Amino acid sequence: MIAVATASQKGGVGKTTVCINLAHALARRGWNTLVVDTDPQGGIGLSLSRSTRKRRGFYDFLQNGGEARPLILPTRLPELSIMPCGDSASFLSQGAKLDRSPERLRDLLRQLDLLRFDCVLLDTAAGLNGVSEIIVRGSEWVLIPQQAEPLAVRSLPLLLETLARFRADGTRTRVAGILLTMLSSQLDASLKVAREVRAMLPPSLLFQQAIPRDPLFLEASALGLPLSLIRKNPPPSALLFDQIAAELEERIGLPAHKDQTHRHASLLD
Amino acid sequence: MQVSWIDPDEIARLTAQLEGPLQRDEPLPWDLDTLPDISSQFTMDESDSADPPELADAIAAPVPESMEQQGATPAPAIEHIREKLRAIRNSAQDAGLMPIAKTATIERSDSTAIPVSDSPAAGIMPSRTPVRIPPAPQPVTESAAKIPDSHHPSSTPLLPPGSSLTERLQCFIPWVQSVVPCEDILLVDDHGDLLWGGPSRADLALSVVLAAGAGLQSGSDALTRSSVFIRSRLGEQKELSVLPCPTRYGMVTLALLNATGLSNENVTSLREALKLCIDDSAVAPAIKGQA
Ligand SMILES: Nc1ncnc2c1ncn2[C@@H]1O[C@H](COP(=O)(O)OP(=O)(O)O)[C@@H](O)[C@H]1O
Ligand SMILES: [Mg+2]
Repeated sequence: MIAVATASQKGGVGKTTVCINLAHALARRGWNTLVVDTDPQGGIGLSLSRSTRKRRGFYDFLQNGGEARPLILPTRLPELSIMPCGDSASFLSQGAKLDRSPERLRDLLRQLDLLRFDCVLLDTAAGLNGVSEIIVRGSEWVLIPQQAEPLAVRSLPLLLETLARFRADGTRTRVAGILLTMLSSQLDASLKVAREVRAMLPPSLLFQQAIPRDPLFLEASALGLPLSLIRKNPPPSALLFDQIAAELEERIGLPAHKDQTHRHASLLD
Repeated sequence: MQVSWIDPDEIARLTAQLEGPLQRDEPLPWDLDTLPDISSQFTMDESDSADPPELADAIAAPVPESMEQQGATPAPAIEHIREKLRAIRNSAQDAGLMPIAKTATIERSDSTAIPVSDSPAAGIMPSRTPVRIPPAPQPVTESAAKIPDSHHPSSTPLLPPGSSLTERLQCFIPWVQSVVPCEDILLVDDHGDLLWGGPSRADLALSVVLAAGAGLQSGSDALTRSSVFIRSRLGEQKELSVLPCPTRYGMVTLALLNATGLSNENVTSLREALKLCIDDSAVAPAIKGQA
């Protein structure tokens, strides 16, 4: 199993949107995928009924540990599951004692591995501190949505610097890639930013594919759904996620990883 | 012209670090508080009550020692962030995206502050955002009328309808001085850029951003409630009163140095006026024909 966390310095850059749509695309491509909502203000599962929204989830696990399986909600797509955020308020209100959280997270990921997930996407709250820092440090890969906008791109150096600092501490998290989002093809400034970022970053750090700005995303996130589920025929932007998913698979070595675990399993069988 | 104005050399250095081999086999035990707990360095204030009610709980209690530290020798991490902001600001200026303060200062006898430039909203003006934000539908006069003039004769600055942000700030700032006498006035956008205040105040801008950030991060939305502000002590002689204010260009923070006579009422007016000043500034001529 491979754990990928999203990260950004600022909110509203498209982390949750990327997570939901990417998870859906990965699942459609056959990977057993779980989205873990770790953002108390995130919108994953917004469309779930009120009673499911009150369900236990990630923060309950951080607080109490125990079994992960009951916290996982299946979706209509058998390969896609969701772990809701859970009761973040009571976890965070106790003066955020986070000392035990890294170990809890390791335990969670161990359990998810045993549950045979191929890929776990952890959607984080903005900022690289607190719980988000623990999650990024505890994941094998970090995926960085970056708005293709002149103002937003300012936060990129700081983010990279923070990740470099994590790495200097010996944290093994690797950058799965920076994914340009909200690219406005009609806006010169947006295109320029995309070009400049592309010129600056090595290809290994930047996704080939970028996500366009598309008002349909707004509609989809209001429903808490991946874009491909809001229309009978998936809109073009939804199809892009198939390519992004393919790129991510390569970047994080998902197929090789799965082969390995399968070989391993067949030896044991 | 470069639009993203992040420094390619810096990016190259960072990406090399990220892609390079791990420095050590075993991860260091890392400190959970990798950034200083800035929330402990600031107190939030409801201006008229010495002991603000639930808010005191919402934000971590002040730690006297660290408040003094903040004034004298800043924590290394803060110094680091400060350097960072300085470098970012410099590269912005080098790239021609942020005006250098000296080129466009307008001396004013009635105010200690000077606008950073002729297009002061360095961080928030539509010219630098790809998407043009349409002018607020409400004409200035109508919004201003929300605050009854008869009750508070000086409760709003006179903001010429349809004026640009520069013009509006030039009316707003002296008005703030007249409402709350203070040693200096700063306006900072949520990127830490000074919208108002001399270049010598760049380091104060950081304190403003940290104070506002700490307050907002504490999750208390009461912070932007009209009468609430943050008091941030910067050493013995200096105190900033910090009022974050959501505007249509994002959070803009008004900070007053050693202000005297802040009251519940005038904090409310300051915030309302600031919002009006920014939200209704013209990107296009003000809409006519509305009452
Ligand atoms: N490519 C896009 N085009 C248009 N709107 C988008 C796009 N990506 C995200 N959004 C919208 O921007 C807002 C913030 O996105 P979200 O994914 O919640 O960001 P984050 O999780 O980083 O806070 C949402 O309303 C979402 O619908
Ligand atoms: Mg989110």
